Amino acid sequence: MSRATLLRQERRRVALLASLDGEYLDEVLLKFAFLRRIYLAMPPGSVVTLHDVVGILEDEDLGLSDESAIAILAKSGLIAATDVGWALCEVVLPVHPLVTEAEQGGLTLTHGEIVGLLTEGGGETMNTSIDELLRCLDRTSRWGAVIAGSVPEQLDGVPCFWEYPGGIYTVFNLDPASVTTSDAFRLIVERVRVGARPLALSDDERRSVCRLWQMLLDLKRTDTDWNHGSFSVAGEDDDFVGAFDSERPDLGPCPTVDATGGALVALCAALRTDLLAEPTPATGLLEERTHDAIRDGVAFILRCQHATGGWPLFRYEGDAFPMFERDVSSWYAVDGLSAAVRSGLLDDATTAAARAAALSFLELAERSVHLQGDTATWTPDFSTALASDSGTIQATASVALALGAIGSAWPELSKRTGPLRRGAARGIARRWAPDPEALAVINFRVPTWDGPAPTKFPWEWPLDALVVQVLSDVDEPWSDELSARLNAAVVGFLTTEVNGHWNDVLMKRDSGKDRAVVGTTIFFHTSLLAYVARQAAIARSSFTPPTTHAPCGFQSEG
Amino acid sequence: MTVVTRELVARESEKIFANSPAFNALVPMAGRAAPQRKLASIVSGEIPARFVRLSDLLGAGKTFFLDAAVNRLAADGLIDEPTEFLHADFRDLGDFSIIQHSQVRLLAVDELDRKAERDVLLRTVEAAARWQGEDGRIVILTGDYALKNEDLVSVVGEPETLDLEPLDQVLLTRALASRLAKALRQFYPRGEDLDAEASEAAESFFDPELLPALLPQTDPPVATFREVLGILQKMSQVLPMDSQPTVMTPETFRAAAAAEGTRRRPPAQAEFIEALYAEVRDRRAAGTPFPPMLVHEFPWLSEMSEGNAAKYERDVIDPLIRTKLLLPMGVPYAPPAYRRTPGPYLPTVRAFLNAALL
Repeated sequence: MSRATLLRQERRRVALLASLDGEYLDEVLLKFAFLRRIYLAMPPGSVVTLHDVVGILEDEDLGLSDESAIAILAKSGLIAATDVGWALCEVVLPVHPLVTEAEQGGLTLTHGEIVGLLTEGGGETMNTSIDELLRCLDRTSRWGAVIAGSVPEQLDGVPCFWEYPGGIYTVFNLDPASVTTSDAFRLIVERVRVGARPLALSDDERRSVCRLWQMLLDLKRTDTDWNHGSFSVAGEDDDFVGAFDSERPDLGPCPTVDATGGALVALCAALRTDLLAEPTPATGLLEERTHDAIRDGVAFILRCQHATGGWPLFRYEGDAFPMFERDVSSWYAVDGLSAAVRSGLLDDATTAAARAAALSFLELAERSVHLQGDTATWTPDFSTALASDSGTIQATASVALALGAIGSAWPELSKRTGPLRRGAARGIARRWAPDPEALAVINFRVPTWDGPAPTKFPWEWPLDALVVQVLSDVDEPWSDELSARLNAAVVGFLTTEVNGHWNDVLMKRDSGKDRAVVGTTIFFHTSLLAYVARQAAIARSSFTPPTTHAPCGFQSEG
Repeated sequence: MTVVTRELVARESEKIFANSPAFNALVPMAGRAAPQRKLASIVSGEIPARFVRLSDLLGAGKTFFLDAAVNRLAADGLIDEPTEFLHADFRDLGDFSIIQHSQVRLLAVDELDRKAERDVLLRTVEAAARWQGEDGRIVILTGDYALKNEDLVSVVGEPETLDLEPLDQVLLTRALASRLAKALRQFYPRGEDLDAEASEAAESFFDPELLPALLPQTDPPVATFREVLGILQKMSQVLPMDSQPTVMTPETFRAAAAAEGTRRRPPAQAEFIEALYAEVRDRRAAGTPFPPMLVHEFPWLSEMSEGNAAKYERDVIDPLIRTKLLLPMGVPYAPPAYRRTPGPYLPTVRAFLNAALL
């Protein structure tokens, strides 16, 4: 780089600093928040209202008046008065003592230069080649193996949140979590579901992963006839806070359809890996227990289905307490049934019952769909009268992915699931814009032994990961514009990945803490798997390879 | 020898004092029986109301209350939650046409607060009134003191109100005991009488000199779970990592404040704060409660003209409201000034603590 270029870059940085300078900390914080939330997100010339600025002041607890905040932003050069109010400036010329000492235009910045300075090393230059995505997938699977080896001995499941000072993973909250346990296992085995080769594991990794497999099997309940075959941890469950009653510990927490469906998917995938390639008495027992767990899990799932076709989070024996059907639980249930049917382990009667259950769900989906033009959407829990865009996207994605699982196990039903899925993909694409921090919040009542909990508990799903997964999974063509959005989302995945995992967005926002979340990481992992699988399918269909080559799967070399 | 040591509380502070969606911890339901019964009477038709107002400070527990109340209604067969109840942000409802033909008959319209513009609030309430027109529908208007603005809600007539009981020592102690017990169960899975240990520790958790500032006796009350737990979390993070029993003292608060550092403020804000704290201390010493005050009612501003008072509110009071040292207790958008953050004003819990202890 020439000296002149370096000097120009330094001037740009000085201009940026001058623009962000302030006498009080709150002034500087206002500018940073304004840059982040408004200036970088909107094109130059966009109108800024007082309401926008006041929103920043209140959200960030800044001790500034309305008038002074506008004056500060104007002085920074980020906004200027126009006939229609305040607008974002294309050229940022801060009012600063240094400006009068600099050459003409020596301390100005353009919008593009600000974006470049603040997103140095990131943004659109991120490499999203298949190789890079494969490497990311390998990192996440290996991270799953690390977590498998890091679960404290006294816990019967994998906890949700992990701290990692100096790269050593330690548990943040000592409660294990039922769905998280199968999620952690799926980080290693999920890839076989899209036809990829299993990851080659070291001996230590293999031991840890088999220990995790054992741990998952040990979560199978056998305490009562009704609960038999369900999956849950024995005590407090961090995925379902409040499900366990410390005054009635013998009952354990209420088991859930979600945890059981997730376990079925994980166990079926595990049988297709090479984890049991070297038969020993231990691996033989693992295999046998897995077969039993799959059959018992299917029986539990079938017991829990409502006559209307959907699944609740937990169905009480005799419907002692009402729990209504949920799109999320139905997805876990259908995915689990589909995987179990394809495993070939079920007898004819159970296979037929599973098909009947899937058909009943399909009929529910057909009854509850909202059709508008060529789009198909669902609202949360099938009957919520109104949902936000993120709620609609999340519910539609859950149903679309469940319908995909039906098509996988029962291809003859694809002529009914296919149009709904394609409509869903279009409905989602119309509502979605990439945002690496966007979350779909699912509020639900945890089941307790006294009925549904009085208060609601949230799960937060990374919205971009869910969208990329479903749009990759559905056989609906992508326009160039949609491809660009999806690529931007995937860039966001790679930018926010940390050594094979993703961190909790809310904890970072609230307390500034970086904590790895298994439940979020599996979303990004399955999303990338679907995206890569689709790209690989497109590549294969685009040319006729020489007869000596075969699709290589996802085992990366580096 | 207690197991609720300072080390345990310091290490687990983020979980014990969780007060945001980032980490979920249970809060016991208490002090809500009366408004729950009233809502049940409204939904059953015993009280013939069509509009209900649930209006309180941010972080007072409105959503928490609604979740629990609706759960109770569903369990009693008064409502089918998935189809007949909807809790929605007013911005998602638009003109309400989107739910006009739904089966919803109990609608909670949320976020009706001073952050929204006056005209938007008015249009929303008018739309709610039109939607309610059909028989059997009930609307719960949920938000802050903006809902006490008669001009804004006059179109719905006189709504029934649901008043949440304020946070008091009993409720705070119960919540703390429950959170401490959970932490103990994680570290002592085979421990006995952990609930009793936790309750005992919760009863002696606060130094008597700290409590009056943590739960100040104002009318109306200003302490909310969100603010109090947030302060306790910061205090816990400066506790010594030792095996002494946990007692939150004035010294703990001072250490937490020192760790946080102070932010330099413009001179006018700094002068107001100093005078406010002095007033809090004087009243505390005299045993007189701190009443909500308009600008000219603050003793050191008593000679301020009306015109200057309006400017003072914009330049000094509003920034201090944003830094969470003052609470506007007036009705937003009320004439003649139509301010979003009108007086009278009360110090927040944080301000009471700063005044009393720093």
